[in-house]
Amino acid sequence: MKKLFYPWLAVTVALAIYGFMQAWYIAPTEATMGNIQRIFYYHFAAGNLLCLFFFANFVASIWYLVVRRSNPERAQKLDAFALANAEMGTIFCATVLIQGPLWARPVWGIWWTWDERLTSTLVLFLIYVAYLMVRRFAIAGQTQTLAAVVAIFGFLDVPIVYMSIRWWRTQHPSPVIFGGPNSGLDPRIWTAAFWNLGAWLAWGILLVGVRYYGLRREQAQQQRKAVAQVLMETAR
Amino acid sequence: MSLLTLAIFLQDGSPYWAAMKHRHLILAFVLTWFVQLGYAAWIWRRWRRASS
Repeated sequence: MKKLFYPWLAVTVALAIYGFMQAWYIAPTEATMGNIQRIFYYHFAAGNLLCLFFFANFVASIWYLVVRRSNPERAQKLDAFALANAEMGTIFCATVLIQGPLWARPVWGIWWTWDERLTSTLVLFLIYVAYLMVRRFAIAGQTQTLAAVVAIFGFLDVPIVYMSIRWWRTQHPSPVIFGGPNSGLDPRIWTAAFWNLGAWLAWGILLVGVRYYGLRREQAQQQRKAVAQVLMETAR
Repeated sequence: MSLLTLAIFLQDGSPYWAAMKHRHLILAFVLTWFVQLGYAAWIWRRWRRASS
């Protein structure tokens, strides 16, 4: 872990700087919106990555439920992985919800509207906040199982968020990827968007990695405490 | 700073107005990094605590 951390951090910082240069200086100014459209480079990356990290949380949660009795050691690893991904997804979701209104205000003239894309994203954020609160405040014992079930049901909102701009006519713009014959962007905008996507992906993987190993250490600490408590009680 | 200098500073085209014109973009950038770095600092602190 330590061997990989600093090279990965260096790559992430380099990508973030290059992505920033692409977004602010190299990508052309959008014709109708002007410079405010440059929020897109962070918004697009965060919107896609929140789906990716929630998907990882979803898979890990199912896997946890499958192996929790047969392979408890692996189940603990999966639980830590699920939590690390849920946190990262929630952080990306929070940034999407911050960037969206800041983009909407100068372009639409309003900070917020209750259209399907915006509302389903807010609901998604609240679901995963609830998931994190379950993990934090549920009485120990069934917390991990309960959280895994919440995560599986919570993930059902992700396809709704993704498809909302295809299923309904929304204030939010139509999709620019797989959006039909009239969708698409200037190639220079794509280049900047993908550099930023790469930078934020590297950043997300870095934080999930650090958080995962931190959680594994916390699990080991709790295990040691539990063993010490049992030993003390049997010694009495 | 004299009133004349202040007036020149505040007129259109000055760095102040350039920043004000792009305040939503700048704020989105700053807040995105604030949230991300805040989370990074929090997990780093948890990591250090778990290691001690």
